[in-house]
Amino acid sequence: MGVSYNSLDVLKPCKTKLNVEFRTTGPHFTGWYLLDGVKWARISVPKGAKTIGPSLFGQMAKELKLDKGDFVRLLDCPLSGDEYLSIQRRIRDEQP
Amino acid sequence: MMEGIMSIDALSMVPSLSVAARNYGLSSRQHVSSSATKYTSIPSCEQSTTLTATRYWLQHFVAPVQGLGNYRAGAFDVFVRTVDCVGKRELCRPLTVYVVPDGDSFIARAHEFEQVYGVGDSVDDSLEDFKLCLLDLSEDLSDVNTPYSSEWEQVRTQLSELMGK
Repeated sequence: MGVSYNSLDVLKPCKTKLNVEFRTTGPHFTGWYLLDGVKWARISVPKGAKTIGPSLFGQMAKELKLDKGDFVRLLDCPLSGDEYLSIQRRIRDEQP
Repeated sequence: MMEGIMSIDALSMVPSLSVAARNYGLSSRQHVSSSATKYTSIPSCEQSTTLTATRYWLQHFVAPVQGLGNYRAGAFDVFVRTVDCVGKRELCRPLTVYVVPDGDSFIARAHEFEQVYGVGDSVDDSLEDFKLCLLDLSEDLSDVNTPYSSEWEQVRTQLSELMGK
């Protein structure tokens, strides 16, 4: 992980690209990504502005069912909401 | 607990913890932290692997050592904790939580619930955060207005069972 990210760097693209609505009442900001109307991925982002460590970064990528490369692309802009949607549909359709 | 009847000078074991871990088949990166742990019995004993037993005993021996408050976590340390209750709710069985250093923080996770983690500036902080997040997930999953994927339905079932709902 060459570039460091903080919570805001994760919250913003999740809101704008994935239309995740975050709940602010819990210990973390948490929100659901709805795939075709079904609660599919739940992202949990710690409150505070600390730099995200490598394990936490991997955890968040996993929560969104992305590999770290695609997660970086999501945060850094190239990965659009539509592309994310097609990745998730592919994962769902490949499930046994 | 057996601390009272142990005749082994646990202090003398600290410098060789990594060596001991390797002798028991753990890589030095996997060696178990010498931080005190609140075990009251050997966890997962029935399904015990050598690794589980080794982890338990290594921690058990080292727990009484004084001065561990000054212990500084290394990048590859794993702190093993058991969680018996979350908030005011007692769990049906103890949940094993693994805490590892992560950059400037610590992250606590359980293999059983990979969807939950806790972060904090210390092992204990991250563990407390983990408990709050577990409880938060439980409350979150009680909302049935929107359908869940099969993965989350499974998590909800497991969590309900753990929480004794």
